[in-house]
Amino acid sequence: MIDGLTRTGEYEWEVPVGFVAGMHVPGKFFLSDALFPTLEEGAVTQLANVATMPGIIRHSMAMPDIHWGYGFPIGGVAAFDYSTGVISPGGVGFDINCGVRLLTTPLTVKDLTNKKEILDEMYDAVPVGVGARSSLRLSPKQLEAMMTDGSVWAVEEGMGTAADAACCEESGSMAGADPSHVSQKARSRGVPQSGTLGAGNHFLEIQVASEIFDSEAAKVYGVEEGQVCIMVHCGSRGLGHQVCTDHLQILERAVEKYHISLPDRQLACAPLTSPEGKAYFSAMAAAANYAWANRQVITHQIRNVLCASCGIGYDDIRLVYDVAHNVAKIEEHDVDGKRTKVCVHRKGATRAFGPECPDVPSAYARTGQPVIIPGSMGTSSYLLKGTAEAMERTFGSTCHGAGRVLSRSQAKKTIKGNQVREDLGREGIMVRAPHDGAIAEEAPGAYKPSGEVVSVVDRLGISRLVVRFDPLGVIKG
Amino acid sequence: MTFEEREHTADILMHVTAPDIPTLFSECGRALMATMYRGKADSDCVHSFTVTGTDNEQLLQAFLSELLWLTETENVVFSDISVSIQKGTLSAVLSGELFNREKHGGGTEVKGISFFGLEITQMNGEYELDVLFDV
Repeated sequence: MIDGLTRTGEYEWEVPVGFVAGMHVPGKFFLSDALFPTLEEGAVTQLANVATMPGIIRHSMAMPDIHWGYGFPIGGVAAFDYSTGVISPGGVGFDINCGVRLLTTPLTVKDLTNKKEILDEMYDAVPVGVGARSSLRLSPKQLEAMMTDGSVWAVEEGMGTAADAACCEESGSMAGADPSHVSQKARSRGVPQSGTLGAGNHFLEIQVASEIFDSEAAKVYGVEEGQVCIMVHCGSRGLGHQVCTDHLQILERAVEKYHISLPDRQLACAPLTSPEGKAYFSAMAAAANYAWANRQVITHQIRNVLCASCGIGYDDIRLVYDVAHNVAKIEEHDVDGKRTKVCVHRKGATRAFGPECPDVPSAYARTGQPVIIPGSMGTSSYLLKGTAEAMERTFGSTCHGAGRVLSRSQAKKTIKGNQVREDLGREGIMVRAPHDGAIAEEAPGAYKPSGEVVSVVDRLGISRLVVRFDPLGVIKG
Repeated sequence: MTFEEREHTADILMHVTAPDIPTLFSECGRALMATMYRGKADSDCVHSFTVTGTDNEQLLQAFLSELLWLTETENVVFSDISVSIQKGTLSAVLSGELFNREKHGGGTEVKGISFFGLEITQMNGEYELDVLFDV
């Protein structure tokens, strides 16, 4: 038990002002008793540190997948008043717009008689792992368009359907992106990695919709029990990582310039209205657009494989939605009875806008936005829906995934990659990865149980369960 | 080996020791390469760069960030890393070979170099630090 915490509800805990010096608001995190032993003191301190930042509104929050991160904890959510608050790369992370998308297919499990071949072909079609290079040969002008227009650029290049971009958060193209704030160094990392999956916890998975919790919402989202679906989890690759690195240096200086007192230099930030803050926001938005385009390019590669292997049409593979879980957004929320312009940082947290909220595709407007929560390798993933409760309590936010409990070195010491591969194989789950070490690092035992994490947000009402997906085949970077 | 991985839930934390600051920095560079790539690299090509910093910690962060950028954009796995420092300017000379998936693949992708706990200390004639790679 960590001293100084106050339980305020069955799944709610408060970190009171004074837990660390200089807190403007309390911290709040959501956790069940079953998940409580996974709570790290360092993550709670990070949650409290965020509460010291200028302009923070209501609470510094963390979702049930809370764990130790860079600056903010993973699972962290914080809203800052637009006129008095700050923006911080530590509240977004190195992997800007790391996110997830869900595709449906007209296939059922019985149709997957050639699953191994499909997985092998996807592994060959989508570059994965450290050192993998893109098959695209982007010109500087194309890269610029990718950063400005996001998914829309990829669709215009023939790598998607008109409906795809509309089914992304921000319609796959975040306003305010300005590539002039993206350095040449970032661009030189972005060109060879466009359309690549990356490594670590990024994955491409063939899944089956195995349980429907909310048939009405599932119908609206176009998902049926027994349907084969595809989930893609990746981000803005080296381009986004370099944007973070570059702007951290600028914002370190801004902290001195604007006399901002911080308990941790990883929270380097600048006022939202300052030139430095605006420059980071526009570079971050450009990297976010790169990430949406990146997931769109990978979608195109997957569609080509499925069309050739399964004899289905390109348009038969439909994008349900695409969510960001590492991003800062300018949004309007009700604060003390007034509509207020805020910057919501979601760092390992997912937007969960409820019914009739702006930026939710019209087809989903009455249901709320789809919220996609990936599991760890070999475990279930979930589709949820955004809720009015999330708008009231968490600035329209929910969890993003399972959250690690074992370090990579512990995982490698205690778990054998080939054993995990064999165990998953017995459950009918095939795994492709560049090395068994990558499988050990990302083994199911290294993560919190994803079912418990989504069960907490469902019981809190900050998003509601719609569908559970079980893995059939996994490609790890 | 003068670097070892320490426990960190989310990222890769390396503890590094060396008899002097330039060696400490080059060992941090080797720790970065060992995280990202498997197997050994030959010395087929040579690269060099300089970075500046106002203190040793900032200089180390700049050096590792530049090394990360160089290895990704040149697609080279570096085996020998030589560092010299004069008046806040670090010069690095590095040799390595082009990334080969069969030989070097399967490592952990590093997204950035964190300032978390980055403090160089001296004890019993040895320099040491913990450096966190965001993965």
